[in-house]
Amino acid sequence: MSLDLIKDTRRLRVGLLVGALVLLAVLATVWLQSTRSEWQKRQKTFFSLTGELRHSTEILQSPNCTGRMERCATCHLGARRFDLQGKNLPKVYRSHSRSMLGHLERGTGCVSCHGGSGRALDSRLSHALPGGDQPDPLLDQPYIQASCARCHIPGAREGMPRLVAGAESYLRLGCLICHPLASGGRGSWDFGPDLRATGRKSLAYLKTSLVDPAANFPGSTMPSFKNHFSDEPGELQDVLIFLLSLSIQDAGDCSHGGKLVSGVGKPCADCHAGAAGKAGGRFAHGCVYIVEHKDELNCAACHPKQVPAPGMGGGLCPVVERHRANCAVCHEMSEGSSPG
Amino acid sequence: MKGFFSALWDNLSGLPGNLRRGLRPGVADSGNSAASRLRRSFVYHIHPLRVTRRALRASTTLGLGVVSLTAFLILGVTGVLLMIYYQPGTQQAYASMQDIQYAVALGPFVRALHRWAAYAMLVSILLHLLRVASMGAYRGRELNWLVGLGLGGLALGLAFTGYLLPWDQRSYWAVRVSASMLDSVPLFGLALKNLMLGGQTVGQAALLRFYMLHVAMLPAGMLALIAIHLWRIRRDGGLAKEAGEGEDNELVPAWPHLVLRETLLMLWVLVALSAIAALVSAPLGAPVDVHIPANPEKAPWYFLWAQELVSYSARLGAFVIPALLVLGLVGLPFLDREDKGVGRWFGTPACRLAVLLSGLGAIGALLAFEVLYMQAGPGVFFKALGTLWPDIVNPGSGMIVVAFIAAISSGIATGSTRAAFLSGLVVMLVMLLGFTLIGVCRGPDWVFYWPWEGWPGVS
Repeated sequence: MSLDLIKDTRRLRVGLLVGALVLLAVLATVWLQSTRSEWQKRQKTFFSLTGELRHSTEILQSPNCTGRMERCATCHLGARRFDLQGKNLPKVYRSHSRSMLGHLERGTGCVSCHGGSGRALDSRLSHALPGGDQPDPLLDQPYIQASCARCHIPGAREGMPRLVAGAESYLRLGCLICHPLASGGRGSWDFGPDLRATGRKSLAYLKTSLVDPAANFPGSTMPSFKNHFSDEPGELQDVLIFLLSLSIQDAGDCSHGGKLVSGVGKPCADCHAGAAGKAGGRFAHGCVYIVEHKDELNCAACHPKQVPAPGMGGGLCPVVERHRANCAVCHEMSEGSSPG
Repeated sequence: MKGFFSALWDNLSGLPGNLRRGLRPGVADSGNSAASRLRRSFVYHIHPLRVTRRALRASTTLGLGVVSLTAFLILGVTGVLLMIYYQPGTQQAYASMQDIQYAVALGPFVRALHRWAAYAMLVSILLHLLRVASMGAYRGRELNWLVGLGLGGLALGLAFTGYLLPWDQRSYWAVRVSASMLDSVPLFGLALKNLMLGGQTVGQAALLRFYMLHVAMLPAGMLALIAIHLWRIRRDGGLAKEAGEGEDNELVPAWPHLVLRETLLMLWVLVALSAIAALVSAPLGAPVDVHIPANPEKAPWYFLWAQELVSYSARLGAFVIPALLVLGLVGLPFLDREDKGVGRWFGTPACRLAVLLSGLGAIGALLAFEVLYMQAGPGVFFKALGTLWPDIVNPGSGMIVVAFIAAISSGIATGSTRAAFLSGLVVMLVMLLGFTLIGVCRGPDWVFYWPWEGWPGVS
């Protein structure tokens, strides 16, 4: 190998120059790309639609009352612009209905009711659409009623009739027998999984679990409710709303500056009997309900060989028997009030 | 009074010259020739004034050490940038990752660059190790070989600790499954797990420990070892080579010929990694939910071979084979003392042939073992032999046997200890690469699926 040292030096310097230029080009491309993201395009479109002149785009973020950061307003620029209510804007820019003005004023934020991932700025991820890998998908009407349970006891306030109807169906259909919602954690599974610990499942998943349980859990012994719901599609929706409200993440401690709104609290602890056997609440009345509606309950689905004799009280059902300890916890609270 | 003002005036008027002399110390005494420039420069700590022409050739080392050093530097810079936003708490970590991903200017790019540089560092270190071993370049450089192994270990530790930090489902379950591999390490497995996780589960203590290791302890250790590694190269006389004269060993000035070559390589490594990072961003999965295990729970790709081996036998995959690998690599420069063929890829022609045959044999053996194991399975094939046998007879132990046979037969055929150890090492590396690829193909419940087959739907 013969090496011309002067030529070699020149070649190396040219290589360095070319490399530096390519690096600059790559970095410039990255920078340009970063200024053309989805939210920036949305802001530009919004300002051109409203005729408001803006030269720069910025991320609009603010923490909601639980302290979680939300960036929804970055794209949904019209959400609080009630002056734009008459205008025919695309859905993403439309202003919020005034019916929830109280929530908006208290700083409840967006995610607490609508679900989704407030920090993300990619519409697929922030709305937690299927395939986006994010839990807590965006809830449409009427499923958004499930979100009320993040803070409120179902039925404690107006405006959640479907959630309350779902809770009643949950009891009437006997779901509570296998999924008691009241005993602590995974260790005390009776037949079905603890529905409080499943995390936020998709609507499609929950629906399949009701009409074709074995599709989600091979070998599941849960009976299908397909026939029941084909007669009552509205009830299916109610139950789904209730199920969503169970596995929903609670919004956190949202005490509105120390002034508690009536019926606001942590839903798990208030309704579904919290950890360590404390608390108790409305759904524990399912036990009373089981006793009262024994004939309507589909006991045979779970007890093919040992159908409890009618009129004998809850003591015969092994599930009820096992949960007697829990009854005492709950019955201190509010004896006799109706479930739901 | 007057003395003060005149002195101040002198200093001010002499400022340009003093600045030049102050910022380029020694320039007045030694002149401005290329040699004296290099002698003044920091590079002189690393390179001698003159190097062989051989050192300039790309095929000599492929510049793998420079590539891994560049990756390390990129990791340092991007890592510090990420530290500005990252918060190592179970409640904050994922949210801060989302901030980096969505709200921080160029955050996704910096994160992707960090990830790709990490993978580039792991791969280039492995190839560097293979290059040095294949050339027998550890001869007379035993200490530096050990320092290099230490650097490899630290790099693995850095990659592994960094994997947990995003605190998403992928990272959480990967670290959980990797940590549970320690259960199979005899005697100190439990203590090791406690030390690593700050408990028996992956939680806040583990996250904080991993963060501290990732941003402070391991990088500091790596910096110290890199300094020693580079210093030792110069003390050991530059790149390893066979003694003798020839145009190859003719000396040329290190500046600019070697220094610019290295700078050029560093620059293009940066360009390539930036381009890849711009095209492929780092994933951020769903936030951790300890109630929903990922299926399959996969270790990071650089530990997949171990997980695959653990799926055959926990003791073998998590302890015996890694321990054998470490022992073999540490012992290599002491068990092979040959000077013949040093500095040439895979040594003498006979050695090259032996290594090639061993590599091909390893591929054949891997395919045979896997077909046998997956078709017959431990259930049919080994059940009759008792429960102990799947622990002992499986593709992992088969690998040890094949490596042993390859080493012995290469050694006997060539009469060279280097050929023997290189054959054994190549068999291990080829088969571990194979196990990694099989691990990549594992789907739910650790069932094998070809890449073009979809996984059955799991919730």
